[in-house]
Amino acid sequence: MLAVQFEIEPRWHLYWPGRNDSGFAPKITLKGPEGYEFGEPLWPAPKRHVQAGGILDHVFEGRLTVLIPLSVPKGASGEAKFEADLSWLACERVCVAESARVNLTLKIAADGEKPLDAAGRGLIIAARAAVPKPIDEAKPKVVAAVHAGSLIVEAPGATRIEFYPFEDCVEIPDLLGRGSAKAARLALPLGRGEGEVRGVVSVTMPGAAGAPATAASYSVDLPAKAKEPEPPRPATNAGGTK
Amino acid sequence: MKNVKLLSLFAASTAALAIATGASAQNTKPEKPAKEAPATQPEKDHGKDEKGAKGDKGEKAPKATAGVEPGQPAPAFTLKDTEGKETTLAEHIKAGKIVVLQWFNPECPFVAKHYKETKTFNDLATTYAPKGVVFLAINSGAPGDQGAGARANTEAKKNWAIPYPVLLDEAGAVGRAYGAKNTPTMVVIGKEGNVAYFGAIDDDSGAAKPGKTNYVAKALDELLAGSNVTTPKTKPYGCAVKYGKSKG
Repeated sequence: MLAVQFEIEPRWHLYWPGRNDSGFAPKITLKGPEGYEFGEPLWPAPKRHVQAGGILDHVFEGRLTVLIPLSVPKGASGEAKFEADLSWLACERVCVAESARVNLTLKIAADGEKPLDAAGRGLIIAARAAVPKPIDEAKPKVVAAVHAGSLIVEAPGATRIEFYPFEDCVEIPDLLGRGSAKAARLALPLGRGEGEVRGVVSVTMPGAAGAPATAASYSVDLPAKAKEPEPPRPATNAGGTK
Repeated sequence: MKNVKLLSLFAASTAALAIATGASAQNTKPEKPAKEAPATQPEKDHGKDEKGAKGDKGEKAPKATAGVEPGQPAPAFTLKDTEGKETTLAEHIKAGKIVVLQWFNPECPFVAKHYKETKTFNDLATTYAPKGVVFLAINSGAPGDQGAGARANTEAKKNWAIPYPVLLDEAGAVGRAYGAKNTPTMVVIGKEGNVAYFGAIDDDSGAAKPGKTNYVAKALDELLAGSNVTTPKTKPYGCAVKYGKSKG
């Protein structure tokens, strides 16, 4: 696993690679020796960012660590050099496009050899814990389902539930107004299109005895049309399935 | 201007394989010394989420900008340009012109790429103005914000040799009426005064290079040929329009 870490200055943000009204997510292009393969980047959950004019984005503030799964070819040993080309848009009220190239040389443990210890290891483990898990692994239980044209998320005891759609999620007509609920239940009306409800659910739980609230995030991937028995096809039926 | 520091590229053991492991942060730190990164604390980060979200709720519930859809009448407006000269949409519609609106902010990298890196916008005007197409740039940024105000826009108009007016919409009313969220958002208004195209200038949403398909040029070609616009709507890209907070 490789990690790219951005240290973001106070008040500035970077963009999450999901549905946003503006900006774009950091672009990461990796190069390594032959035989090494990179997987799809893993991102932590973003936060909602609302600006005047009804502009809704999902962003990162503070520190952002993006993980890139790395597969090492069989029989590799010695050293491996990696290079990452990065370009990103950082915005405050002002936006700035920036880029950088960083590199890293790794010692590769030979087959059968004990894994070498890494200074970055703790950081990567922590970053992995921040990547949204599938919602059916949620503890305590969080339930997401499509019901009557809405995404319903229920998390008993939660003080806030939010939904952050991926780019390929079905249309959500009022994500700005309905995508965040200060409650243990989120009901988010979906658009009429076919497709999947894909994105990240963030659940905030109150902290015990004065401790700060904690949030956990889960990935969701559901068909937008719940399977329902075919109705006897009324001639006109406002709000009916189509 | 460096607003984001890249700390480092780290590595640790992958699960199953015999294994890559880590150069330390210090060894690989790029030119800028940044403070040592402690392990990320998801709880802490989310604690911040919470605060930010509360902040949102403290204001009144967010309202989506109304916006226009292709086929709808283009909202009328009267705005002054950088020289104080008034322009109305109605005068151009009445004259039977096709009008292209471009949400503008000279400090936005996405706008700059099409004026500086490439001459997308200037070329568009050079090609289509002689065919009777009117171009208007509109800056809906609030006073004091990035790229707002007569001075910044007068300068940009001069530096980039913009051959059409840059209109100032500091109250943001026109931007909101059209639902413009990005600079640049492009709107093409057909001769009958209806929106014929709403969306991005082209199909590359990065800040570095222009795209392959220029949707505005395509829409204009089709309108001028008297045919339907085949792609009347795309998702605009760019910076957020810097609307004033008061009417948010």
